[in-house]
Amino acid sequence: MIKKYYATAYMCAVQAFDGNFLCVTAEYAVRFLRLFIFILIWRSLAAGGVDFNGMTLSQILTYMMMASVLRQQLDIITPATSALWEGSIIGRYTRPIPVIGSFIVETIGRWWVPVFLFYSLPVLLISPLMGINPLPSNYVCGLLFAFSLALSASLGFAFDILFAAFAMNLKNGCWAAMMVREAVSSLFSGALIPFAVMPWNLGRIFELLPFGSIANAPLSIYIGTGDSARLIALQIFWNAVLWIAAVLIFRKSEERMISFGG
Amino acid sequence: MAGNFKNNRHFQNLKTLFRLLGVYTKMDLMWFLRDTRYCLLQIAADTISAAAAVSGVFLLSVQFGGIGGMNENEILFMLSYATMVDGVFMIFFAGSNTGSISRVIGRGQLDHAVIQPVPIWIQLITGGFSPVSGSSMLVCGIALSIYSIQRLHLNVSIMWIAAYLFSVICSTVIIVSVTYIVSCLAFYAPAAAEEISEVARDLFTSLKSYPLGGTSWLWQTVFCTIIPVGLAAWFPSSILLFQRPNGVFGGVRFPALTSAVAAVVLIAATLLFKKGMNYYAKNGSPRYSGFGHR
Repeated sequence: MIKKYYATAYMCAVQAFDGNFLCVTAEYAVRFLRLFIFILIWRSLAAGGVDFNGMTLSQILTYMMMASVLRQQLDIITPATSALWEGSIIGRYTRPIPVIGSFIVETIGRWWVPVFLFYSLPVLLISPLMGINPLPSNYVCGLLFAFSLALSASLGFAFDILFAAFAMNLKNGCWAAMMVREAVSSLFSGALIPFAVMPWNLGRIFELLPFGSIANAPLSIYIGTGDSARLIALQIFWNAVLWIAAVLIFRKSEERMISFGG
Repeated sequence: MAGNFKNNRHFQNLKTLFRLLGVYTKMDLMWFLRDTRYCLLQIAADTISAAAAVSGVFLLSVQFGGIGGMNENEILFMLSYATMVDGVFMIFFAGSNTGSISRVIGRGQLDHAVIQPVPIWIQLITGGFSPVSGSSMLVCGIALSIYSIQRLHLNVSIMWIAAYLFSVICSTVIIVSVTYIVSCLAFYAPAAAEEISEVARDLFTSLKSYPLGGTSWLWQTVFCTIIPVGLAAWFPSSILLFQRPNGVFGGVRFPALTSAVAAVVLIAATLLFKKGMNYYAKNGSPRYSGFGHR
């Protein structure tokens, strides 16, 4: 049973750079440049004596670095919507594993493994040279973070499957909807700005939304600023709600699936 | 004399350019009328993306009373400028992959352009023209600019508006030219670089909204020359806001640096694209193999 999933993930992992080396490495370079500019800006704010609502500069920098390093896990985009757009989704129905399961292991193989090896790990290793502490606040936070990250990834997959179901109903408009999703998810998830430094108490509201459980929860636990029990309880709640909704709505939407090809 | 002028190659090209812009305007309008639902969906998606792109930096500026030497209202002006630049890009280069030229090159679709009796540069400027479906960002940019100018109580003159529009055009030229320079890799590695223009564009999309005023002189110089993301919004905005009487690059009101860099990258893009086309003419595209082409 596990072997089928492993084989799919392995095939996707070894294909990640197939004929795509330039784009993938350029993408990593842009991602690192973005992190570098964030670091410069947060440092300049700290130099100006800005109060980060109780967070230290060191915590902010660790938060931003981990958001960049774990971007693939904190902003999950499976091939579901693009496969629908291209028409290649039909091939998944002929494979000996469930369609949703296939999307999940394809994402892990194609994105998680190569990005970890060629972007995340090198950035984690050089982070002390940039003056960033890559370690969690303490070992308890580290353990809770691992659990929270798993819940976050699970929630991300549920979101993506729900979105793919939504895209099936939009037919040819799924590309536009995907653009919106990509644009808003990093802001509402806390991957772009820690909720703790948002004005007008927006962070408090965003934290309660399902998006907030994706990035803000594990990253806040990692740097030791979040209420771990409350954040993890929220993550479990949203996982339960969204997975039930995702599976039911996806099954229902499959009946309406039409692809025009990309 | 008048007859000679009308037969002039440049005049004919200009006539073709405007005629094609008219044709693409008509086609875009027809899409809107025939497929209103999806066209409106696209417009709404662009508007929401524009709002999301500026929200992060704006929220930070509200929280901290400004960032990078700019106050809250100045940040809003800079973000409106960034949205304007995106708007101009969307109107001219969002359609037909003219802004994602590596896809056209990598897929061997340049052959479709080469057989047309119109110069390629005209096809590239007009092919993506979408004044109806691609206008939402520009409308957002104009609205946000007017709002931020009002909040700043700026003394706006005709010359200032001209400098503003010229700066927006220069910033767009920088984004397009850098994208084309990077995309020229697709001539030599069609499969490996097919999607590279998206990465080049993402460099500007994701970084141009950040004010770099708080960073060191060295990094400001790097981000305004070698990696010119600072010229896509931050630096020209600070010039227009009269923030640089004795700034890093001298007290120039005219966007001298932005226009100089725009000229350099435009020339570089033109030369590299021509060189790539020569290579393409000799070697063709591997897409025209047993696999066929799109």
